Amino acid sequence: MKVLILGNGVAGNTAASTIRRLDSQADITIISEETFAEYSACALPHYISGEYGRRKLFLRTKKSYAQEKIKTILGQKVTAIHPESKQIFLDSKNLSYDKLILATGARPVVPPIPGANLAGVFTLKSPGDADRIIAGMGKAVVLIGSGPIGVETAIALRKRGLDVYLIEFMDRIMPRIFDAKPSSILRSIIQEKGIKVFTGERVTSIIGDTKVTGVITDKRQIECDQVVVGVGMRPNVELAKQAGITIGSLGAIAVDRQMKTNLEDIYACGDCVQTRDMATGKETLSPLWHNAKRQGMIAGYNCLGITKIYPGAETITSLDVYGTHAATFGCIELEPNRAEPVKVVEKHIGGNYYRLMITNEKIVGAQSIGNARDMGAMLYALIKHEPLSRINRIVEQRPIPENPLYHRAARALDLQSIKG
Amino acid sequence: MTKQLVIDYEKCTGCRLCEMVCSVKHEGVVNPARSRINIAKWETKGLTVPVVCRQCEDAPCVSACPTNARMRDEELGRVIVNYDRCIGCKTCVVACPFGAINWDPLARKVISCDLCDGEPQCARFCETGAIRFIEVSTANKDRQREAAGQLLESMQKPVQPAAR
Ligand code: SF4
Ligand code: SF4
Repeated sequence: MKVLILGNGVAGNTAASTIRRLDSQADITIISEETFAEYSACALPHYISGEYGRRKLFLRTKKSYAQEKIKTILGQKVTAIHPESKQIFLDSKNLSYDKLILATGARPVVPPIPGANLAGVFTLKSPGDADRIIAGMGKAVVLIGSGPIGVETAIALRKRGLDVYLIEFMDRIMPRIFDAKPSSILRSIIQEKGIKVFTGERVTSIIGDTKVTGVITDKRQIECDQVVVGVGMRPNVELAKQAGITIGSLGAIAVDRQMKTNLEDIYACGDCVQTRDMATGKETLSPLWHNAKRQGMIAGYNCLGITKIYPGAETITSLDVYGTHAATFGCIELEPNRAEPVKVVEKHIGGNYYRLMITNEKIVGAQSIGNARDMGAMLYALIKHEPLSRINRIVEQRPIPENPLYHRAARALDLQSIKG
Repeated sequence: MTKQLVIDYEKCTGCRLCEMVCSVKHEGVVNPARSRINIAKWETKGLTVPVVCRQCEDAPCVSACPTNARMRDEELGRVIVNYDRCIGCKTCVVACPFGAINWDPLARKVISCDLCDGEPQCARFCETGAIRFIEVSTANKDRQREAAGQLLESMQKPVQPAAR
């Protein structure tokens, strides 16, 4: 069987390894425009800060592809997919397939701000981007957008001794994954370390002749030698669209729960697809490592005719903020367009902060600052859609059930005292 | 057949000897904060529960790790960390349903049970038999399989479309 995989990220590689594990004979080829071997994007800030060597970014080497008998065509662009003849076209040749897996990923969005095309304006996605950011380090850097990557990059560059400015359009940092309280706790930690944070502020232009010299917002002007833009990702779907593959409401490739597209023998996984969120049941873009990994695995299985169902995306984010662990999953209270009201339970235990979102007696999200060891049990309750009353019943059970899961959660959060 | 740590909560008296021997064995100090096994105390219920890694086969912590640092070691039937790769993001801590991964504040790394390379000291020292390292009997295996099955099933349960 001939399998072509477009994309050399975690989704594509997991699909390749899954297929290889199950079928030693399959002819597997990964094709990517990027020339890098598979790398961990999550490790990039650690590379920028200097704590992590460049080699460590890579999860594979040329040799390890060969060991798994996975062929690669790197640095070449696929120009078209022909589903009728089951072929793909590269610049110089065409290849046929029995199964095609699209794992084309997503690319950083650069908003249409005047000056966004100046030298010294970067996004962060690949080791190449990180190299450019390191090479471009001067005295001061402005980060536009305060998602987790923005915050981690701010910390990394601050560790390098730069003056770091973090600008966020919303009223708090990491506004999509943390509510006001935990967000402000994290904000004070990074401010204490000297990162200047401006929220509720819009960048109106980036200035400089050929190279960045500063940033103008609706409130101030900041001098800097470098700008890192991190305001979101856009799925790479152009090829799929041309081939007649259905694009979903969120602009990503639509797949069923087996990661199949609307076209026969074409699958898609990773940041280029939209799936359903486990917490809300709604369609979502969830460009997170673990989701891509699982989707790649599911696509691999189904390619080989072994039915596996994708249970939905889990939005888990975990990051280290100067030694303080910040974790969040599911939805937040301040979610825009929330349909149903949530009840919020907050707990301070020791120096740790927990926040739990409950809708219709069920956990739909949680955030923690500090010790996160009870988060897993909550996540499990969310995945299981377990009502609190049932958790309480399990907790009351005697003898104690072998699985101490909910005891942990209940102990930490006094679930009994929560009236859903 | 691989051996497993089997916990009997009813027998645990909360003496925390296991925490001590664990930190001694791995870090050379008596410091429960640096132990890979932890006694979860739940005072209002009068419960003490030893919490330790279950060495899951389809481990949530392994699938959550963004650097492939966490992986299964099939030889000893356990989950291990390649600290060369680990970036300390603690996603695994959040993903473990049992809260079995600890953060060592001194070494600044994630730690969890490594079965002492095949000779768990906690089981050796536990006086009440609350922790045992045994060949898993069929009955036990069945029970574990059932539990694992439930976990898997629930994780694979398709998401219900949002009610209108
Ligand atoms: S750390 Fe947790 S999730 Fe990972 S193998 Fe152990 S019990 Fe399972
Ligand atoms: S802390 Fe280390 S082992 Fe755990 S998920 Fe992060 S990188 Fe993987």
